[in-house]
Amino acid sequence: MDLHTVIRAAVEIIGHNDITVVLEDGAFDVQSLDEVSFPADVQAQILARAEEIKAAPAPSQLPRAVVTGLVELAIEGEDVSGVGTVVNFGGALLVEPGRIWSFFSEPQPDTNYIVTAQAPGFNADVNYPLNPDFIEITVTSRVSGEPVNPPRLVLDVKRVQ
Amino acid sequence: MTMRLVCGVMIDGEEQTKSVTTVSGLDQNAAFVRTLPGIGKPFYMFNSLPGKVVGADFEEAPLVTADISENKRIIEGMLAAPPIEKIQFA
Repeated sequence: MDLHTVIRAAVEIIGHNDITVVLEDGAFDVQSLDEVSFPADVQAQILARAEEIKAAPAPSQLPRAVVTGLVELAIEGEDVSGVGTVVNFGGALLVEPGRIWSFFSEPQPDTNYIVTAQAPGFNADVNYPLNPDFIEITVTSRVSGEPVNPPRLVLDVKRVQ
Repeated sequence: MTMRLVCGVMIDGEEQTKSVTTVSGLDQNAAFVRTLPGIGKPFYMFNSLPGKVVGADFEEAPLVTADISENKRIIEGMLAAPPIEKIQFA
């Protein structure tokens, strides 16, 4: 058992941190600040709690997803007419009908990112391979399958940190 | 609010003149032009455009520099006196 875990357990059991933990002949002794040992049953309780703390699994270290790009494009005819809800968006253009490029204002460090594209009422596909500078999206009609400019396109870019 | 960047964009191995919709904001655009069209490349910037861009005369166009404040100064100049006569519309 390590001193740090015993102190943690002692603070929990005693309810305040005005204590001293002494290690003598391989045994821990929890004392008040005026060096009076707590009763044996309290000592045993503290050690039991320290064992519990030590046995508990370490807190989860799951990686986190971070939004590194976000934009909502409005498209009218053959023109990107509006831009909103912006995170790291530089500019967008219609390359040809149904084919849209959206540039980051700051390029991604690499292509290890995930893009979700939504164009309500249409099929929106992100084209691979990805590029650090921009995202290419193809939008098609759900009815005819032909490329088409959607009135609204939402891009959500995430990375793992 | 948006702004319009007119520049050459390399698409499928061929440079095409395109109108790019950007967010308004001088600082942001002054930084972004370093990505598109890129440092050393000609460009025009407008608050708005009257139609679909099909071409542009870049012969006397300003070039993007690596310096954001210099790009900002160039863009401010273009917004004050829009070089609309350099743009060909459909």
